[in-house]
Amino acid sequence: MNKFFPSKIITKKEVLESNLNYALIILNRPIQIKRELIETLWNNSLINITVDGGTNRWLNFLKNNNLENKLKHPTLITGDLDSCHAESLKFFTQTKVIQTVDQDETDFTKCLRVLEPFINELKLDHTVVICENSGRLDHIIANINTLYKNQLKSNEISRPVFMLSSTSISFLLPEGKSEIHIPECAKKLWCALMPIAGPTTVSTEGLKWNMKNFEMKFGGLVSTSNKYDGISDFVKVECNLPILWSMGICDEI
Amino acid sequence: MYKFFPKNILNIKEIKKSQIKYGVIILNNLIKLDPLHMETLWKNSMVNITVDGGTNGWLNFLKKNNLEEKLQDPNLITGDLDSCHAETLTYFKDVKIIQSNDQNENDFSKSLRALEPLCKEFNLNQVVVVTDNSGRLDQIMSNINTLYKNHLKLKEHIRPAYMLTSTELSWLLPKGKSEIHIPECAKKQKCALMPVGRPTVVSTEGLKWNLKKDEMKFGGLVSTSNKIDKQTDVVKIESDFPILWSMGIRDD
Repeated sequence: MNKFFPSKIITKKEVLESNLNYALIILNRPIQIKRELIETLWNNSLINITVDGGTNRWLNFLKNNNLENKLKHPTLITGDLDSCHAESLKFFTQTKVIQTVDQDETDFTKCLRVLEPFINELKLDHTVVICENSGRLDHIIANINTLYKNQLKSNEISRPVFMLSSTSISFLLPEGKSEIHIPECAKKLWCALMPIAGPTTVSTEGLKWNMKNFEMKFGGLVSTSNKYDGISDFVKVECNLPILWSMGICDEI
Repeated sequence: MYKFFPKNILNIKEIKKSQIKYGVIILNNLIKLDPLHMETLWKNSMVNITVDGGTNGWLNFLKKNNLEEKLQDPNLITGDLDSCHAETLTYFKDVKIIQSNDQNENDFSKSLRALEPLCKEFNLNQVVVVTDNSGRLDQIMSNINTLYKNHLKLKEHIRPAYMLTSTELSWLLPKGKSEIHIPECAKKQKCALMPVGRPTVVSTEGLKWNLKKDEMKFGGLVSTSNKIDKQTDVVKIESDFPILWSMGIRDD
């Protein structure tokens, strides 16, 4: 049984209270998450990584919020660095740079590889990735593929990866049974189950439109714009292939 | 073998002179296309549909570009209309509305359904969908699912729905062999082949990183951030299942 608690990531209060060990990764999309939340996530993570152009985004965020000299520098900058401005590299003097040039994998995939040795060393519970779901379709799809690749890794070196945007949190549910705790303020928002990798037989509880041993697939049923049943604190999902879950999150910090 | 000529959608001169009949569907509420390109697509289409919040988007586009009196009204407004402003509906008061509250289909699917009889009436060969990658992952995936459902429904008759954003053009390639004739604006641009929905065996020619009967799948090979080889006029693709193709149309 896999249990997921997105609430421990999406509000400042819960991030502080839950005291979990996590890594934070910034990808190359505009940073639109509320300042207080992202500041809290940054300050409390055990390792902060900006990936290629994400380094520029992070520097812009600091400048726009007068935080240049207030937050610690990233632990690492990774990626092939073809989008990372010289100015950004120059600014983050305390940051180790690990250039990953391999063109067979995306910068995000390579970043999770760089993170592998830290998983046991820092006893990481999960990874939070800051990334808006906008821009190039192939980048959005590539990020999802990175989640699937991560899922295939052994228990030793794999941990849940949460994709956090200003309006949603998305993550892969592994094959088998999962429970997702639904934060109070998210209960009136949308959620979705998307069988990206292939036809997947799914059963759910706690949703407005539940499924019972139903084969979900592209060209058929893909459960988007679903909602919650209004009673449950947990959504339960059982699936025979890893499936992508996404849910709306609210504004409160 | 199916041949695609995206220049008939992307190039203003080609849109005007092309004999290919198409419909336009406006999905998103912020139109980021080059205004002249958008105007040309609208004027030369046989049928224009605005979908729910896309109707607001269309009105804003008209106002922003001083086109209110100059372009024809949409032929149809569709969707559940929960995002359509009252002001917008007032402005387009003479436009036929097909409102559908069916929660089993997304607005894009409903608009294709509404377009169906018009496709026959006007002999439409393709649909251009003006959209954006909006931030909601489920809506992006839902639209991709609509492409698959639309494709499967039409079976042998290929009537592609092209998803057009300000930076890229995406559509579903049918199973079997396809040729994509690359317009000038797309040469050397990025491209991608994405086996959304199931593993697919693919071969290609004309890309920077070609595939040769490679199985593409999530958790494995998904060809993103590929490029159209600079020598290439025609990209050739063969796949054992419909596959999602995307190509850049200008620099990001």
